[in-house]
Amino acid sequence: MAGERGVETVDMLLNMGPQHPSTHGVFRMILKVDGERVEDAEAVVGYLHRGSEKLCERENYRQIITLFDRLDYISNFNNELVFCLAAEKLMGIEAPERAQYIRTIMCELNRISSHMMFYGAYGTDVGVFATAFMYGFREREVIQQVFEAVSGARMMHSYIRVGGVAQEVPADFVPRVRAVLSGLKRGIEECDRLLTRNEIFLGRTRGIGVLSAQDAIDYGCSGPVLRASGVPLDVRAAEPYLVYDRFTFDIPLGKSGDCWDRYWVRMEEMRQSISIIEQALTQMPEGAIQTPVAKFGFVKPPKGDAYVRAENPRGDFGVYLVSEGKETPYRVKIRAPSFCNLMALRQMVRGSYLADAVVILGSLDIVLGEVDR
Amino acid sequence: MPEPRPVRRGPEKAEPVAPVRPDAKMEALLKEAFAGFGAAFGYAVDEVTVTAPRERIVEACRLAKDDPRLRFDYLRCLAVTEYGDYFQAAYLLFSTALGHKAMLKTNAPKDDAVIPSVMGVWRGADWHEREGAELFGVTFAGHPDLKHLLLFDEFSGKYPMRKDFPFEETVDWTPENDRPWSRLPQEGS
Amino acid sequence: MEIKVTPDRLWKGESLLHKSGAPGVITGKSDELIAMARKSSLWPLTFGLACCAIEMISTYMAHHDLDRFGIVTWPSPRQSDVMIVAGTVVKKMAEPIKLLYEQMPSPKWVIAMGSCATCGGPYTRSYSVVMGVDKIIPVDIYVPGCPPRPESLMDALIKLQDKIMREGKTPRA
Repeated sequence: MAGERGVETVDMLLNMGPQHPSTHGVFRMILKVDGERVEDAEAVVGYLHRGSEKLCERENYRQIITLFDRLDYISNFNNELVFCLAAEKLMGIEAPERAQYIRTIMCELNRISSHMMFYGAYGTDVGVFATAFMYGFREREVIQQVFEAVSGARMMHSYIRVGGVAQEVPADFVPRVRAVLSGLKRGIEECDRLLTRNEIFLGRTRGIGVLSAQDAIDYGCSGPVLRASGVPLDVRAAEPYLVYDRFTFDIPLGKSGDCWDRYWVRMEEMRQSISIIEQALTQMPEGAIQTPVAKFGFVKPPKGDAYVRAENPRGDFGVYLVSEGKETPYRVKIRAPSFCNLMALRQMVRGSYLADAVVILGSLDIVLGEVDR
Repeated sequence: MPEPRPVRRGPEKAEPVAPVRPDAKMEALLKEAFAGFGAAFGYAVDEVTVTAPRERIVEACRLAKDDPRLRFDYLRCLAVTEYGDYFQAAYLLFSTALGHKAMLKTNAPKDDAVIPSVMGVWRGADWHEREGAELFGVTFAGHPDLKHLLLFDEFSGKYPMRKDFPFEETVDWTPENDRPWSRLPQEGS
Repeated sequence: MEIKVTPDRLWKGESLLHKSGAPGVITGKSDELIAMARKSSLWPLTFGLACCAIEMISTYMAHHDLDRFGIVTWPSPRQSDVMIVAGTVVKKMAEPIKLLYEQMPSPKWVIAMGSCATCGGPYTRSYSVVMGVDKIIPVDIYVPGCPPRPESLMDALIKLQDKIMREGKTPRA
């Protein structure tokens, strides 16, 4: 086709991935570019399709928790929680109050560690090569040590069980988490100073990859991606689960739905998470941490289907669980937030510069483990 | 060969069913809105389910989205499930404006596994439908581009999420046995 | 062939190199010295598949710091020596992995990190998972764990360095 000055230009197909440092895993994008402009983009996923949903039909309810750990491998506690909530909903039981508080604290800590991972990866995407990663992982490492003290594992915890949690938290849990939080507050401020108002960072992210509220809802986006577009939808507030209705927290909202807003929403969410954890630590009661179901591991939900959703760091994570009254579920459908957020990528990338495609993809903060399942 | 012995059965026990937390307001609302659809109503614990005939599912979805009392503008999930002799697609809906939820369902028999696509109603149905098509073999009629999403072309005609697909896939990759999955068991065999 | 090198610092802890009389000068077989150079600047391919990649990144970061072993990541297969297969290898990804391996220049080494890359791990016998990366490319070191701790990965890399030295010491057939 003829360009604006009568020069003949030819569209070029550019392949990105599945091995590419800025695709956050094994994601592949086929970009149709006209010079530096992206005309169209096609996302190719499935390079990490491990058949989790099929395996869920083979394994019993306790074993499935380990599979859920590995779906969104940056926010393990949140995933475990959703599956356990789904089984509990079908069985009509509820975890004891103390267990609910422990779950809340662990999930919110996980949210901070996940957003710290985002911070590092996103900094790398916009050009702060390893510095942002160093900052993000410094905070993450501290949180992972708490996880290890509580659950025995740095990443794959299998700590939240149907009907409670696996074991009592260590004796120094409350003072230790408080100490971690005060360190985190300082850390977040430092991260903020490094990037948030940085001139170059603003230049790379302001007004890039704008997603309107209407489009975000239509594509089923959720989490920080949706809230950056100005839609105040947070499952923790809209349909409170666990004990979220007992805390006061803000839902940070973006104004324009660009990459900077998506970044800023996550930074603010970390501060809100700290406030939630502080409230939870104050309110946390003594008492049992397991119902008999969790103690003996006898999980056999009655016949029926249920859909449970919860607010993961990446958005609205849902599980549609169908039980036929057996030891193994009949069908587990996982609604992964990254999966839905990724659908909006095409819309955002169209018409942007090639270098911005990387920034836009980074701002979605996808985890391929849950996109492909 | 010994005769099979009759199995002794105990007294018939009622099968336990998941507890229902009724939502009378939503139920009444949906019954009123979907009155002319020949729909069946039920519960998935705390969500009201509306099972509409598949010929009218697009119409039902559009009504759910456009009706000012319902305004289900957000498709949370589209789950395909295989039951005995039919496939069921469950549309999990949420209204960002009104903050309520519901579940639409539709069934398609296995020998005619075609469900109309709802991509015209919510664009977010796109990948969910592609996934359902490749994992279960349900054709979402009207979807513009129903190609493989998570799997790849070697799986054409094989639907791993179906119940008759074996769990234990024993064909392995070795240098001599390159691309072994092209010899996966055929559908129905 | 005997060659002489004058390193900045005296190399310590290498029993197979013998000191010559002059201070700051070590002599050794050329194969050994080349192996020493190779093991001291391993460049792994930046390439994460799944969960283990997060622990791999943790290992690169300041807390565990792989730079002190001379290990720096490199995003292109054309200049890297080590491939750390961190995560589940699925059938769709098998061919790209094979391609990446073939793109790396010799000598090259492969570390299978975690039980998925070793044998399929929790996804054993899933319809879309390759049961271990050794089905498609040769593996030098296997790291157990799901995911392995950063210390395990460090141990694997040190073991790989030992292996490279051993390869330099053994006369080629």
